[in-house]
Amino acid sequence: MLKKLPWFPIFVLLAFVLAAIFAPYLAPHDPMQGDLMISQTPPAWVPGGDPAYPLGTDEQGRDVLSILLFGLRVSLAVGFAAVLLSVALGTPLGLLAGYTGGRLGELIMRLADIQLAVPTFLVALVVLALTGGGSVLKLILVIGVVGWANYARLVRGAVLSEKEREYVLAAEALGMSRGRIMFRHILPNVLSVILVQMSVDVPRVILLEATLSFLGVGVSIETPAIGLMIQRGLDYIYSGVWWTTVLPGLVLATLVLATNLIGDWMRDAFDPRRRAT
Amino acid sequence: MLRYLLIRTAQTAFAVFVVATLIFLGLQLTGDPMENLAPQDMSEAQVEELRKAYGLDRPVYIQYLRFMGHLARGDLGISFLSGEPALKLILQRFPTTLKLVLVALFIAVLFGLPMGVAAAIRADTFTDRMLRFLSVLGISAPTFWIGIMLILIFSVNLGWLPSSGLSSWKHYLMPAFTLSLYRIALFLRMVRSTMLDVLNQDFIRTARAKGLTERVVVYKHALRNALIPFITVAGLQFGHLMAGAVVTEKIFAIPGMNRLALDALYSDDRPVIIAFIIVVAVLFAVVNLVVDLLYAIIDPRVRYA
Repeated sequence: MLKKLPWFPIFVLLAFVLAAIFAPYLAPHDPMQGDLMISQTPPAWVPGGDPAYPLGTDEQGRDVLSILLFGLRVSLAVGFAAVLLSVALGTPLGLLAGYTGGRLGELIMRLADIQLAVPTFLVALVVLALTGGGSVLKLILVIGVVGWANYARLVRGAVLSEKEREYVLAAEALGMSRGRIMFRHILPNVLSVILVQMSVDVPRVILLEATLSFLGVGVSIETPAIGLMIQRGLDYIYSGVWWTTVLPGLVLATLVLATNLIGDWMRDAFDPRRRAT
Repeated sequence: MLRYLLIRTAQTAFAVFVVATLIFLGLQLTGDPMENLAPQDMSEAQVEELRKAYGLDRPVYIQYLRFMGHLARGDLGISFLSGEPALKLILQRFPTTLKLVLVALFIAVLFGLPMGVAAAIRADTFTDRMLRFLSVLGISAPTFWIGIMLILIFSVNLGWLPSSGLSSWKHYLMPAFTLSLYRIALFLRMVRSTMLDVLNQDFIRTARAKGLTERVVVYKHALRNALIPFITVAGLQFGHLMAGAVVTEKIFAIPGMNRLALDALYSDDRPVIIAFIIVVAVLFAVVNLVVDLLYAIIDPRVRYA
C-alpha cells in the first residue's frame, strides 16, 4: 500500500520547475545585464530597497530574483539530465553484466569498482579544472558519465535475483532473444530500483553542480547560476551585503530539500521490505 | 592474518598503480601544460628550455616509464610553481586537514550515532519524525552555504568566532561543524535504518523474551550489530572528508592539503595535482583495510585466516 503522496514537496518542486521553464517571462530584468548605479541594492523589504528589485541586486547591479530564476534552469537541467545520462549508460551495462555474465560481465563490474573507488566530486573537479572550466553541457556530460557505475552495480544486483524467476525461464523456453528478455522482460521489473536511486541522485547532483560552480570550475561566469552567485557574494559578506549569499542558498536548499523528501517517499513506497511492514 | 595483510597490501599497491596510470593518461589528454606554465612574454627558445627542464620534451612512453619509476621510489616530481617536491608539499599540509577532519568526524559520530539510536527506538513517534526531518534538512543544505551562514552569524554579526585560519580551538568550531553537519544527518539516517532492521530480528525477540532489560537489549545486542555497517560508512566518510574538504578549506582560509590541491588545479601545477590524487588513493585503500580489520574485532563471525 502506498503511503499518501508527499504533496508539499511535490508542489514546491513543481513550482521551481515551472519557474525555471517560464524564467524569461517571469524575470523582471535581464539576469546578466547590470547597472552599476544601482549595485548592491538591498531587498525591497529592507530600508533602502527598491520594489523594482524585490530581492535586491548584486555587486554589478544585476537583479537577484532574475538570476535565481535563470539559475534554477541550470540546477534542474544538470540535476535531471546528468542523472538520466548515468541511467542510460549504467542500465544496459548492468543488464548485460547481470544477465549474460561471463568475462564481459566481470570486466564491467571491475571497471565499476574502480570508478566507485574514487569520489565523483574529485573526478569531476579534476576533469573540469584541467579542461579549462565548464559549461552546462560539459557538466552534464562529466557528472553523467562518472555516475554510470552506481547504476550498473545496482541493476546487475537486481537482475541476478530476477533471472532465475519463472517469467524469465518461461521467456527463455519460448526461445526469445537475449536482448528482448533483458529489455522487455527484466528491465521493467528492476525499474523501481533505478527510480529509487535516481531520486537519491538528483538532489545530490544539483548540490554537486552548485559546489563545482562555487569553486569556479562549473558553468562559465557569464551563466546565471546559483553556485556562482554565492561565490561572488562571498567577497561581500563582511561589508553587510548578505542577500547575494543568503537568498540563493535558501532557494538551493529548498529545492534540494523538496527533491530529497520526494526521494525518501519513493524509497519507502518502492522498497518491498518496508512495504511488507 | 599476516598472509591476509600481505595480499591486501599487494592489492593496494596495484590499485595505486592503476590510478597513477589513469592520471597519467588523463593528463596527456588535457593538453600541453606549457600553455599555462610559461609566462606570456617567454620566447620560443625559453619555452623549449623549460620543457626540457621538466622532461616534457621526451616521447610519451618515456615520460610514463620515468613517472612510474619515480613513483615507485616515492618521488612524485617537483611543483611547477614552488620548485619543491610535490609530495612534500602535500604531506606538509596533510596534518592540518587530518586534525580538522578528525574533529569533524568526532562531532558527527557524537551526535549522529545517539540521534540515530533514539530515532530507531522511538520509531514513528514525534521525536522520530523531528529527527528524520532534521536529517533531511542536514543532507539538503549546501556545505558551502552553511559555512558562509556560520561566518555571517558568528563572525560578521556577533563577532564571537574567528572566520579564518586554524590557530586556536575556537578556529576549529565553525569549519568542523560545517564539515560534520552532512555527516551527522547521514549517520542519523543510516543508524536509524540499520537499528530498525536489527530490532526486528529473531534474536532480539529472544533477548526480550528471556527478560533482559530494554537497555541491555538495545545497547548490548542491537547496537553492537548495527555498528558493523556503521563502521564502513564512517570509514568511507573519513576518506571522503579528507579528499572533500576543499570547499570548507576555501571558505575558512585553512591551509590544508585540499586548499593546496585546489590552487594547483587553478594554476595547472600538475605534479602537485598528481601527488594529491595519489595520496588520496593510498588513503582510501588504507581506510578500507582498517575498516575490514575492525570488522573482525567487532564481529566475531569474521575471521581473516
